[in-house]
Parts: sequence; C-alpha cells; structure tokens
Amino acid sequence: MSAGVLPNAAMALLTIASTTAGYSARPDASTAVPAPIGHVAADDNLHSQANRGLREPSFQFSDAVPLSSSAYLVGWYGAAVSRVEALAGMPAGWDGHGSREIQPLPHRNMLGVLDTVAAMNAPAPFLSPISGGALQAEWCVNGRDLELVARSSGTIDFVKAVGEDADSIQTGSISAADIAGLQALAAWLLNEPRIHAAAA
Amino acid sequence: MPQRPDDASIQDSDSLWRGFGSTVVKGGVERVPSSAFKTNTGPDGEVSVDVAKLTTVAAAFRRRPDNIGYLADIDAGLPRSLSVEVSDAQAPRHYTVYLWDDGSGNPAHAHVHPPDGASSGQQDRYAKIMALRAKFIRRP
Repeated sequence: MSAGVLPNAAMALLTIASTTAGYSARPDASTAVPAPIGHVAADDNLHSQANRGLREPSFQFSDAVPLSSSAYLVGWYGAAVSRVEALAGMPAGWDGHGSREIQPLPHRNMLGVLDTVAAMNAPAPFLSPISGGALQAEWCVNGRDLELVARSSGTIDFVKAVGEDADSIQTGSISAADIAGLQALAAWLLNEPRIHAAAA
Repeated sequence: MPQRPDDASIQDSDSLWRGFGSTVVKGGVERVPSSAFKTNTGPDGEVSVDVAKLTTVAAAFRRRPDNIGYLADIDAGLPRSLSVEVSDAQAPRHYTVYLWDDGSGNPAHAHVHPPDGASSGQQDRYAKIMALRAKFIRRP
C-alpha cells in the first residue's frame, strides 16, 4: 500500500509513530556528551549516536513527512529521521569555518529521500552535513557506493561508484520530486535490475 | 570567490587537514566520507583546510567545535592533480591550493579551490576521489 492511498487517520498514526520512535531513546544527561557529527549506523546505538551532543531539534509534528507503510517497517527509519532533525538543529559555524545552518529545503528533501529509500528496504544510510547547509546520505552495499546530497537549490545530486575505481564514478542531479528517479538510484544500489528497469 | 593562483609555498607532499564529523564504515573499514570535501556554496566551492606543517594536531582540533571528531588528511598534490576540461579554456584547469587569511588568526588556514567553470557534478566526482584517497586523524 502506498502512502497516497492510506486514509488520513492511518497516515496521522504512522506519522506520529515515526516521530515518537525517533525520540524514544534520547540519552539522559549523563550520556549527553559532545560527539562527532555525521554518523548513523544500523545498530542498537542508533538513537544515542544520533542525539549526543547536539542541540535539541525544533521538530514539530506538522513538519513530519508522510510515511509509506513500507518505510515505517524499516527499522532504521525513525533513527535516521531523528538524525536529520539533530543535524538540522546544529548552530551556524558547526564546521569551524562559519558554515550556515542546514537549510530548510535540504532538510525537508532529505526526509523525503529517506522515505523513498526506506520503502525499498535499503539498509541504513550514513548521514552527514555539508558545509554551507546541505545534507548527504550515503550507502555502501556489496561494493556499490551511492551518495545523495540534498542541496539548497532543491536538487538531489547523486554520486554512484563501484569499489575504489575512480573511473566508475558517475554523477548527476535529479529533482527532489522525482520519486521514480530516486527509486532507480536505490535499485542500482541494491542491484535490483527489475525495479531499476521499471523505474527508469 | 573566484579561483586564486596556486601557492608554491605549499609543496605537493604537504598534508592538508579538513575537519569532519565521523567516519563512514564500509566493509568493516572506517573511511572519510566524501561530504568532508563538498560544499553547498555554489560553483565557487572552495574548501577550508589547514596546512599541516603550519600547525599541530592539537591546535587544529582546538580551533574546531567538539563535534568535529576527525581530520581528513590528503596531500596537496592530490587536488592539484585533478583537472577539468572547460569549453572556453584551451587547457584543462586544475584545483589550486593557497593560503588564505580568514581573519581567525589561523596561519595554517588555506583553501582548496575547484577550477573555474567546474560543474557541481565534476566537483562531486573529485570530492569522492579525495575521500577515497584520504587518511584520517581521530581527535585525541
């Protein structure tokens, strides 16, 4: 079932559930020490890694992106959303060189990227900020690297690479609204030719 | 900011340090994420670095917020070796590396600047290459 056909009440429940999941393991004061930014991994420490040392994100229920039912079933989704909110809450200058805060459009579009990719049952992404206010999600699956950057321009820039081979690197850009394009990129990462062909 | 000429006082073998938050684990190995070498500032996407011979690890970390847990370490010769073909230029243009006073009082501060005319895709490609070849230093 896609997000588009869920009744409103069900959509609301899924949205609230995902938001709650993202905050269910906030660390207490004893563990809230400064920590390196940029890392989300698929393990039990997701929530604590995602929140340590970062300013409390100003996240409202109304900001939550609608979840597809498939995305909700992926275990890392809530932590990844929480991670994006934490990165979006970093103050200006977070990189030590006067960077702007994460900008609203990359913030919103990265949540959309996570929704689409989670619905395809991809593994957990590594999420990191980019100087100047963008966000990057990165995966490595069986030697295939996929990087998706949500930029202030509203585009999603991608990098595909295989192993360490610089000659294999491909770059491009798609609209954040291009769901089929995002699905095709995720299908390439997962090496699923059938989905890739359907989405192309 | 337009690209500035290369700085001959920085040798190809000199290390450049770029701060980033945390490593990416790929195949069980910690790596530098390419996001460390990307910017969201448009076509003039220069990246701030420290020239290692002009500072120390301790000083480099001290100048950065605590959430910067690592320094990516590349040789200055790496970005200089990266070039792009630009339609209005007769020869390929290269990245340049030059000292830049950013007003912070850091004498080691420098810019790694992409070639004028390089597209965002070309810059992303080269950010990936720099990340693939980078070593890293963990915050002590």
